[in-house]
Amino acid sequence: MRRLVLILAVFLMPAMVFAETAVNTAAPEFSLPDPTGKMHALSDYRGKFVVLEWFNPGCPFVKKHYGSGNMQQLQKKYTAQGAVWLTISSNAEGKQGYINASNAAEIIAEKKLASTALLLDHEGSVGHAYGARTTPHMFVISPKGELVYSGAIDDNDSPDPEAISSSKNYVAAVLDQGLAGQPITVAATEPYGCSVKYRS
Amino acid sequence: MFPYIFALLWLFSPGLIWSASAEAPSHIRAELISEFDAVIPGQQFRAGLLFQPEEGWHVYWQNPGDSGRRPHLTFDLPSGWLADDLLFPVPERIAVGPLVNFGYPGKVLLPIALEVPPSAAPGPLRMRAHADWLVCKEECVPGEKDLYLNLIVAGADRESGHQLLFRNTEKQLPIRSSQLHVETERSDKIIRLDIKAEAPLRLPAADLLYFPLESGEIQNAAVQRYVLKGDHASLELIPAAGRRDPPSQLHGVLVAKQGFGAAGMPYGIEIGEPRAVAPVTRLEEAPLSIGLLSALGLAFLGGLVLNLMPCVFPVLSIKILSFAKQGCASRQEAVKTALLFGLGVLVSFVGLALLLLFLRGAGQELGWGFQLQSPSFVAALALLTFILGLNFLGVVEFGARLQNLACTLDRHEGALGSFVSGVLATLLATPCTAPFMGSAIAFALSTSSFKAVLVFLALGTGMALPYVVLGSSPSLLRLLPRPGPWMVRLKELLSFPLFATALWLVWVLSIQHGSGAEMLLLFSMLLVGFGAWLMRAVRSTVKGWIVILLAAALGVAGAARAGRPPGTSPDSAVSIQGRLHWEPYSDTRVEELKKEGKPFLVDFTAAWCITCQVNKLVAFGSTEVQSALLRRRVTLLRADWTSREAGITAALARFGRAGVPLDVYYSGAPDAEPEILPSILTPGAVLAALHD
Repeated sequence: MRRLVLILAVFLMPAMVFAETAVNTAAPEFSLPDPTGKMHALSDYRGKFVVLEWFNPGCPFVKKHYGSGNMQQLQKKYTAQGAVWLTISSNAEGKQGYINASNAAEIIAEKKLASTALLLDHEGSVGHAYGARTTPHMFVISPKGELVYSGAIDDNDSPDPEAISSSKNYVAAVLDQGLAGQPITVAATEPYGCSVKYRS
Repeated sequence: MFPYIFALLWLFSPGLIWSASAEAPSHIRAELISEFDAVIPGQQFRAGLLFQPEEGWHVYWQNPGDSGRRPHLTFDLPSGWLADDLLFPVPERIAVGPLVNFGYPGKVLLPIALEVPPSAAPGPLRMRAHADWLVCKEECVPGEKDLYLNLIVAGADRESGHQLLFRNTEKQLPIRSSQLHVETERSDKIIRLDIKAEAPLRLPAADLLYFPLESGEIQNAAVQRYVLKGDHASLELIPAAGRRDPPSQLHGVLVAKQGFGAAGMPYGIEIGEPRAVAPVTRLEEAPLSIGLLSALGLAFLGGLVLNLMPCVFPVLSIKILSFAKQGCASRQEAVKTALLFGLGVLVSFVGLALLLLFLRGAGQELGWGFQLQSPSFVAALALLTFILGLNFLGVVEFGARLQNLACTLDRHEGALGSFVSGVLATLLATPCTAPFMGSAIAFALSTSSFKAVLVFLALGTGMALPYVVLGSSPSLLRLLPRPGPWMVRLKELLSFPLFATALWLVWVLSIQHGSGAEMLLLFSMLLVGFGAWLMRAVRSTVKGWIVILLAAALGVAGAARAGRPPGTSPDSAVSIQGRLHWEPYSDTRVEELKKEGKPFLVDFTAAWCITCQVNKLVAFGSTEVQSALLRRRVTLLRADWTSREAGITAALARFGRAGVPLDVYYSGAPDAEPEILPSILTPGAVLAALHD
C-alpha cells in the first residue's frame, strides 16, 4: 500500500500544485533521512523552534552565505539557544547540488555545515509541500508546529557577500523575537536565489 | 571578413569590454551599446545593455519569477546627463522543473533612455556603467562588469550600427493602451481576466500570457487558460497560495506572442497599477510600541468614550428606555437586566474579536469596522434599524403587545431583550473609533489571539460599565423620572435616530455598491413596511413577520449580489468640498509629495464611519480651516476605506492603526515626522497642526 502511494505520488508529481504553505498555519509534517540513513521527523522537534534551510552547495546565493561564514554562524548561534536547524537538499539525481550518502560528508566538511542535520529530499516532496522555490529559501516553525516565517534569509538579493554586513537578516529577527516570546513582525518575504533543482 | 569587422569595431570603441574574459566561464557576453555614435546637446536617445548568453542559458526579466534575479545597470554619468530606468522587453516563460522563471533564453537588449544636457561640451566622451546580472541554465552564475560607451557630442547626430536592433527591441517593449480593457474578477481559487480590445488592437487566437510585474500575485508555474470568444477573451490565473497579503489588484504585462493585431501593433501591454506597499515594509514599520497593560487601559477608556460617540446614540436610546422601565422593577430585576446587557456587550465583543482573528488568519486585510465593508452586513443592519424604528413607533410588535412598557415587565423577554440590546449596541458601535481605541486595536491585531481577546474584552467592559453601574445602583436609578405615558412618547421619538441610522446605512451601501443595490434595499424596506401593515390589517403577526423576514432576506441577498468587486474605489474619493479639492490617496503620491517637500494632509475615512463624517463636516467644513489649508497650499489626500482596500489598510498599519478615522499632517519640512491629528477633529486641532 505504501509503495502504491509512493508510486502514485511520483507519478502525480508534475501535476502537483506548487503552493506555498501559508504562514500562521500548521507546518506540513515530514520525515526525511540524513546521509547516514537516520530519519528525522518534524514531530521529533515539537516544542522547539525549527529552521528549514533549502540548500544547494553549487548555487552562488548559497555560496554567498557559506563562503562568508554567515550561514554557519547563524546555525551555531541559534542551535546553541535550543533551536533546531535542518538544512534540506531537494536537488534531484543528475542535477546540480545532488547530495547522496557518498558525497555528503565531503560537502558538510567543505561548507563547514553547523546545522542540526542535512536532510535529503530527492523526490522533492517536502520541497513541494512547503513550496520551497529557491536556495536559500528559509522557513521557521514555532514550538507549536506553526509556520511563522517563509521567505528570504535577508533583504538583499545580491549574490555579493559584501552585501551581508549591511543587510537585515529576517531569519535572525524571527528567531530573536520568537525565542524571546515576542510577536513576529516580518512573517513572509519573497525568497531569492537559484531555483531548487527538482526532478523534472 | 569577420575578423576585419571585429578589428574595426574594436578600433572604434576602444572601451568596449567583452565579458568573456580569461576568468571563470561567464556563459554570457554583456555589452553597452547606443543607437547613436554621435549625439547633439539636448538630445534624448537610447543606449542599452545587450546580453548574449550561450545556448541554453538565460537572463531574467524585471520580475524573475520563482527564482533568479533581475539585471541592474547603473551609469556613472557626467554632470548634467540624465538616465532613465532600464526597460525590459516582453519576457518568456522558462520552466525549471516545477518552477517557472520569466526571462530571455537568448540575445536580449535592455534599452535605457539617456539625455544629453544642452550645455554638453562637444567632443568625445567615454561613459562608464556598472552592470550586474544572474545567468542560469540548470545552475546559475552571477556576473558583474564595468562597461563603457564611447560617444561623440557633436553638431549633428550619427546613427550607430545598432539602429535596427534598437528598433526591433522597441516593438517588444510593453506599452500602456487605452484600447485594451481588462476587468478582473477574483476568488480564492482563480483570477479571471476579461479582456476586450478596440481596433486597431486585436486579440490573438492563442498564445496570450500574463506576466506579473510584482511577486506574490499569482502562481507563476500554473497553466494560464486563454479562451477567445468573439471580441472578448478570458485568461485564467491561479492566485499565489498562502500569501498573507494577496495584492488587491494585478500589475503586470499581457504578452501576445504574435502581437496584438497587424504588424506595428505591440507585443506587450501593461495593465494595472504598481502595488502600493510591499508587505515586508508594512510589517517592519508598524510602530506597535505599547505593551499589553497599556493596550488594556486604552481599550477600557476607549470603550467608555464609545458610549458618547454618535453611532452609539440609537442604542443609547434603547438603553435609556430599559432603565426607565426598571424604575418600577425590583432591585434584583434591575441588576439582572444591567448585567445581562453587559454580558451581551462582552459576548459580542469577544465574538467580533474571534471573527476578526479568524478572518485575518485566513489572510484577509481587515481592521475595526471591517464588517461594514461587507454590503450584506450593511444591508442587514439597515433593515434591522428600520424594523427596530418601526417597533419603537409601535407599528411592528415583537410578540406581546405594549404592556412591556409598563411595570409588568415580562421576565423572559426582559432577559433576552437586555442581552440582545447589548449585542445591538456593539454592532452599532463598530463604525466609530473613539479616542484611545486606535492603538489598542492595532495592538490586539498584531499580538497573540489570547491577548487580542483580552483587549476586546477590555473594550467591551469599558462600554458596558456605565450601564451596569447605573443599573445596579438604586440611588442613581431613583434619579430617573417615574414611568408613565411619557415613556411611550419617548420611545416613539427615539425611533427617529434609528430611522436616521437606517438612512445613513442606505447611503453607505449606495457608495459601496451603487444605485442598483441601494434600490433593492429600499425596495425591501418597502416590503418590510407592507409586512407591518399586513400585521395590523389581517391581525396576523405570523403573516406579517413572514413578509418582513422575506423582505429582509431579499435586501441582504440583493446587496451581496449587486456588489461590485472590491478594488474599484468609490467615486467619493475625489471630491470638492467647499473650496477644498481632495485627491485620492496613493502611496506613490505620498512619496512624490514627500520628495517635493510640500505640505500635505491625509484623511483616512470611510462612508460608514460616522466619526469620520462628523470630522469632515466640523473640521474640514469650517471656513477658517479651509482658508488656512488653501493659504498654505496644503495638498489634500483622501484615503477612502469604505470598501476593503489593502493599500489603505497597510498605510493605516504604518501609523499603528487598524481603523478609521485617522488624519495625518506632513509639514513638508525636511526630516519632520508626520503629525497624527486627534481622532475627534476640531477646527482648532487642524489649525494647531498647521501652526496657524
